Amino acid sequence: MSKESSSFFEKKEPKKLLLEGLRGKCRLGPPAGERNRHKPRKPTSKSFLLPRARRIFFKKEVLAFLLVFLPSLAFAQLVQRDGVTLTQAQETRAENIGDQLRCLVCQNESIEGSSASLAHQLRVIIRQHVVAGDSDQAIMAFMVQRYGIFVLLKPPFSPLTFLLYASPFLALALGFGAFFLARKSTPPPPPPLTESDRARLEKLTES
Amino acid sequence: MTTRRNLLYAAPLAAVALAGAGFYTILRRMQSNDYDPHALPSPLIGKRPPPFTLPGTNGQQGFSNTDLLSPPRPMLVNWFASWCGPCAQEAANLDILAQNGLTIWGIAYQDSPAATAAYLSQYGNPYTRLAADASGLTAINWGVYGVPETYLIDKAGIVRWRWAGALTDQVLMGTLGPMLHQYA
Repeated sequence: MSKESSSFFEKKEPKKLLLEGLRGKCRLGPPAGERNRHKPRKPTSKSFLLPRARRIFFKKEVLAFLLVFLPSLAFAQLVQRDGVTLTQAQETRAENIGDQLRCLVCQNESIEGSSASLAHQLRVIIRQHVVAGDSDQAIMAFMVQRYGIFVLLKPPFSPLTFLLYASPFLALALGFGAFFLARKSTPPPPPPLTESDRARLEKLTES
Repeated sequence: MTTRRNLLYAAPLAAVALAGAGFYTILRRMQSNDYDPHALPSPLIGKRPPPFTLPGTNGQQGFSNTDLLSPPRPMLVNWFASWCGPCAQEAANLDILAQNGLTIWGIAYQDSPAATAAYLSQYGNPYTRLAADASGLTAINWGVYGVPETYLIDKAGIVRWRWAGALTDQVLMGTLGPMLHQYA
């Protein structure tokens, strides 16, 4: 037992050494002795830019350009999907809508995930509607109007889908019903023994 | 007491037997081709087709939704494509229907005019009017999700029935025939 455990530690020893070695090599920054050699110099200017660069940076024209250009960067992240050009935010919205719609050709895939040509066309339509500024509900309604509620991967609660949503609760109710019926059907405990019964029992156990 | 207990034991068996009977019926009907579990109910039923105008192809006249407002007799609009296998399967039945006086208008879905012409010369042309939906966008407005699809339009221009898939003999006898009688 002790031998085994010692061998276990022996095996671990080189690994430990290796880890320490690595730690020494991978340490960030210079070794302790050199650590203070590159102290940050005292700043010669309070600005983060050199005086010459500062002069150019603060020119009116440059400032005006940046004023126009920088905000447009937020919208400039255009992506192209299925031949439609739209911003990243619009694409995310379109993907979210497409994920909730069923591809009618493959029927168990979403429009977003399907490679069917109809799914591709519907992706294009979704993106065109998103770019045109239609709401998610309007785009969903567009699809339901053409393909019925089957196009929705999550069916809405309606008289048609009532049983679908109610079935877990119905099953639970049925289970409880069966349970109570089964409990009722267990026979009640037998009545206590009468005097004559006891005498008979005594007689039987005696022999 | 015991009868109730027996009843409890019989309940699961009865449920299984009922499910079995259900599966049997569904499979039987699937086999005889008058039930398709993938078929969707069309939201167009009970309504007029959405606005559209499609050009003719194969030298035939195209049509628009206004041409379907009040046909003299119930008629069919058949979506097909030369590249579609089940379309060729139902072509013979469409020819028979046309020869028996049923008006059928065709819409070639995402098809080139040359391919449509070649297909019609091979399988026969049952269409009195023939339009081309090259982009497939009109099809989306109709709720078409594959070809072939056949729509029955009554004398008031209202869509009464939609069949997605080939018009087999069983469909003609079992469904289309009675529908045509009903809306004649």
